[in-house]
Amino acid sequence: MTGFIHWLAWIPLLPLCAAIITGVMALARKSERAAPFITIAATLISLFISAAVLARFLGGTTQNHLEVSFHWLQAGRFSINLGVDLTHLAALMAVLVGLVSSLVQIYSIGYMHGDGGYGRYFAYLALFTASMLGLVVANNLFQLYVCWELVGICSYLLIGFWFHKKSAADAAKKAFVVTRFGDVGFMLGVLILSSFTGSFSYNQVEQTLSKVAIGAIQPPFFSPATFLAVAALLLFAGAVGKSAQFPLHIWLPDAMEGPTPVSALIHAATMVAAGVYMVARLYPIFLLSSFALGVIAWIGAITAFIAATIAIVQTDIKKVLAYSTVSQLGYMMIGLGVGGYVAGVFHLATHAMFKALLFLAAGSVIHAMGTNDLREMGGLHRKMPITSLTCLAGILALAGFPGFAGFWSKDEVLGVALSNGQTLIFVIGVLSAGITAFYSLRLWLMAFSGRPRSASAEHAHEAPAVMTIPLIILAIGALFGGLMNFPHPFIGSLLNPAEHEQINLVAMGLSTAVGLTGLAWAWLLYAKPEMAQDPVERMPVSLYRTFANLWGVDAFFTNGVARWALNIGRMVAWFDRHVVDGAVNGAAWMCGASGRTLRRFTNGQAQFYAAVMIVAILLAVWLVLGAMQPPNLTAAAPTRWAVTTTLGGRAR
Amino acid sequence: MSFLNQNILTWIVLSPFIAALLLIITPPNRGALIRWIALLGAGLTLPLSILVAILYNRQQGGFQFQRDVPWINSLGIQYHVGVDGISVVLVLLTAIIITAGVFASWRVQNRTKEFLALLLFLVSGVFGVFVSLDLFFFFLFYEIAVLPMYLLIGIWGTGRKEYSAMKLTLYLLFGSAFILVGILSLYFVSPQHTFDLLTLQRSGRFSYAFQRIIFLAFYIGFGILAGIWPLHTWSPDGHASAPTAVSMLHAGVLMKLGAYGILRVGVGLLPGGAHTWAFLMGAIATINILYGAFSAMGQTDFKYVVAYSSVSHMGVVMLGIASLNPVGVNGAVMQMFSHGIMTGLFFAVVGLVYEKSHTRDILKMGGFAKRMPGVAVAMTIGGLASFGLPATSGFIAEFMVFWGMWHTFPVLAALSVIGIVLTAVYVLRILQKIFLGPFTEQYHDLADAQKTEWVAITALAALLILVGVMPSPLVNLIRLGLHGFHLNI
Amino acid sequence: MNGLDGYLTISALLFAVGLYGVLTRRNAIALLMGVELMINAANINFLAFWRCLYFNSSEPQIFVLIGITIAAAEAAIGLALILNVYRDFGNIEVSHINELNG
Repeated sequence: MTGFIHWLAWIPLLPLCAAIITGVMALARKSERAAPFITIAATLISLFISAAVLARFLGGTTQNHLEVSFHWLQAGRFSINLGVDLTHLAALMAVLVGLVSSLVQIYSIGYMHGDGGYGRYFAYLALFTASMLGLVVANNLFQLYVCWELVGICSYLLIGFWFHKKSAADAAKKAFVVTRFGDVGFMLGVLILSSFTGSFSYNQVEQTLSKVAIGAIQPPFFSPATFLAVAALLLFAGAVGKSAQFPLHIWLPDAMEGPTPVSALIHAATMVAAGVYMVARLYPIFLLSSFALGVIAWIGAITAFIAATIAIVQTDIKKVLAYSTVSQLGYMMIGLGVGGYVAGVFHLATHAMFKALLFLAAGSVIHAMGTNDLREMGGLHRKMPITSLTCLAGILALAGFPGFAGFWSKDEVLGVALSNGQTLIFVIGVLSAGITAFYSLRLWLMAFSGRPRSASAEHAHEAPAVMTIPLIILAIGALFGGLMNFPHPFIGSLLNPAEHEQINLVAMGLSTAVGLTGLAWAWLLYAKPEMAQDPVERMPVSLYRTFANLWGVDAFFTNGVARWALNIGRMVAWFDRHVVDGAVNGAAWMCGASGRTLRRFTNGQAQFYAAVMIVAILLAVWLVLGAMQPPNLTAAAPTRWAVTTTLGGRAR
Repeated sequence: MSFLNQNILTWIVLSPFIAALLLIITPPNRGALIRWIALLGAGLTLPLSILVAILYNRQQGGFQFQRDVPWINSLGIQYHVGVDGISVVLVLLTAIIITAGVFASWRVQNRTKEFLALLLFLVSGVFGVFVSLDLFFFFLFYEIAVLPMYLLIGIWGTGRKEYSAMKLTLYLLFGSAFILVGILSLYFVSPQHTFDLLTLQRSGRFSYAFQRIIFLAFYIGFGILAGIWPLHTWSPDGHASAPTAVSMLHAGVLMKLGAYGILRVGVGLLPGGAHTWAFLMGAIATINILYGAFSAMGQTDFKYVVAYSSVSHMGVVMLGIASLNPVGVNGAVMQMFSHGIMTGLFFAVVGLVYEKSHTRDILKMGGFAKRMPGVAVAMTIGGLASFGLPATSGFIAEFMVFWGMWHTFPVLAALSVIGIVLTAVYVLRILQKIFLGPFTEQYHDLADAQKTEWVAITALAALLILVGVMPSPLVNLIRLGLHGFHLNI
Repeated sequence: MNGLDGYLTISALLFAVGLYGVLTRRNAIALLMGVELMINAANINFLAFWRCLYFNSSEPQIFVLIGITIAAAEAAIGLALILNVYRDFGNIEVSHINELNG
């Protein structure tokens, strides 16, 4: 194992090198054709290393993590080691990231063919992968934060990839700024924890915090319980932004402006997974505060439900998928929040498979159609069978159809919620599962069944092999992803041998029933050859409007917070120009004004000057005399008097 | 070797000065010669400063390369120069910026000779301040650094240049009055009647009441140059009106003179005063950060956005100093360096964009990335450093400042962290309005940067990333400079 | 002592007359004459103090001689100035000569 350890650092570094090389190539506009081969090769090697590590862990090695780190910076108590710490969780996640990323890159060769920014695109993708891998393998809060931000900026660059489109540039900015809101909390969390514990290392932080929890160390300002809750919730704030949890979920649907494979990457394995992964990775910290866990579970439940309802009324194929991601992320948070660590991570893993699949399938459709609008599709099943069938696999996994990947993981999340007594959250989860089933089948039926509803749908054709092969691979994942934990709990034994959940049959039965109802309902409404009007538009107007307006959250941020901030900006600018600078100019004006007033005395009349002089002398003499005793006029008195008055009269 | 050791700092100070003198006697019609002399005078400081940074003995620490020549013995004035870790970093910064600045002003046509000569005079003053260990020379160089600005903005500026030049100069002289009072009172109160900084630091145990008052004088005096709120309004006008190289130098280096003065003279000689006023400094710095960021958001003129961003970023520097914590102060100096490079880059880009589009109104621009991709990349890197993105120098600096501040005044630290969102908002706003979105066809003759301009912006952008990835050489240097200060541990 | 008082009174009156002339007359030559009167008042003062209090010292006489010299020089320069003013302005009214007003 010792020789092996030197390879670990290359897991994030290889994609990084590829990103730098292809980035320079793209800037110089030289041999951009070669870019994908470099980045894919790097990602595959990196995937191979992490897969080898995972295989060792699964093979039952006694080591529970592989760590290598080096000293990066030291300034007094501020000491930072960067490093790689592959725990079981990290290895699993690294494999997922590498897998999805390399498939997305292969797919992109076809999808981005002929785009003006071909080389730049792959450089960004490689950088994105590198950042995410760096985050996954991090062994300290500092590196976590660094990669966290890098993931954010990569998503900015990729969402705004077609920067000449105003909507893309806006969406990129929105995504970055909204997640940055969460990052403020995250940074504060890192500051609190690192300055309190004096270290950035996960292990040290966790050890010190567990001492706080048992009362061995007293934290500053707060009681131990409050301190732990505050620290955990500040960290979670970062996850709320990054993993698009309510109320910061608003950026994710806009992020659809990026190229579709990027959406697949963002939604499946990199950007949004980062938040969930962070909570999972730092789970020992969160476990110390039951309050924080409760908040996480509830935020997750709210997110899961709201996003699912919004997804029903979307007509843009990517938006439906985007809201489904938000909703599924909610499930992961529920899982983590109710204490189902394994369940949350399991769902993260299966979701990565089927969501990447769904986005790539959607990309294939969009590539063929040239539009995102579901209402213009229809009948694509006959034109593009591979896409249609693989997409169906993804849809059924998302809907939780028995046997598919999502079924196992979602039911495990809900099962844990029920067994741990969070009945209300369980009910919300089950309801959302039903809605999810409804809108996912709706998507498939609108796109692939019935008759073509537009000319471009008539003339659509199947994507090239470089795009369909990743689809097929991912479809296998969506079909059999459940095997990761059922019947043999690979993930469970890997992550937490102690938490061995029995299948909760009540939860599974209920959610399956509700899910099947949703599917049946969608089938009834949408499985028709012709469709004049989208059936969901027949629901009560107020409800439809609430869903279509995203429950008002987006409006609150764009019209409320954003406009408010800009207005504050304008006000401050005005204040600066007129009040602060006004005071400065006022001071200058006062100097000028006193000059203008005083210069009247300089009227050029010599006689006036003389008169002023005389008056002044008389005044001075009068003042001096007033301050003195009457002069004693002896023989030498006048002289002495003159001398004393001029030199020292007042001083005496 | 000892000859080199003793004189290298003097050469750094004199090199631009001599070049400026040479420029004065060069015939004005020899354009190329003039530029090359200026480049030589400015550029020579760069290898020299790098040499200083390399030769600086890290085991020994403290002030090195000292040269102490008595000048007016009866008054205790001597030409005493020397650098510690902090000064080394700032000298390096100055050398980088002035070299880039000469490149950026390669195409100044109006009275090139005088322009470059004044620029070089100015920068030799800046070098002088950073290396002086005698308060008399410190002040002398400080004034040399401040005064040519009046002519540089007044003659070569744009917009309301006379107003801005006058405002800037008067404001800074107003500050100088405070500094002079402070320096003289140190001189008269110290038992040795000396201007020597090291002697004052070693033996000048000033009474607490004295420190409290005189520190405030230094804080106001230097603070004006550092752009502390509410005495900052000279800076947006001044930076917006100044020609490119002058903005680069002013925002990049001159504002650091203020922060350096507060650190070296204020905190260094009057630690008691610094501790008394730490909260006030921190609060004002927090206001600077948020207020500057909000102001930048409300601007529509590209240069004003950048200028207000300087106000905001200097707030981070002052926050670090106010933390009086080794990490925070280290971060503050890092931020000085980082902000210097970053702002230099910003103003270079602004100059390029303005020169080619003839507008600075960001609402009228759009899609420039299509025609000037290189400039867009450089601006993006600068922007990323500006909002403290990891892997750029801005991040490690801000992080250290916040970390240090967290130990001293957590509430202020928490408030100023909000600045990272606001900065992201205004930086992304200008990036988006200027470079992204649909191309505005009226700017069809827009072109990317050219030869010498490339040198400037590529080098600056590369430095931002290099320092971001490998900050430890600089951080370690600065750390060596912090031993003389009385900081909280 | 009465002698001194008398001299001082005379000189004070003379000074007052001169001052009045300087402050009120518009004609430059009259103004110059006022100045001469004031100088002479000072001279009388010097001589009065010398005569009554410091008879043994010679400084007062020296001052007086210097004063007279100054008065002469002043008259010469003043008249020359007035001539030039007359050439430029066409008259010698001092109220017209205000080119230096602010």
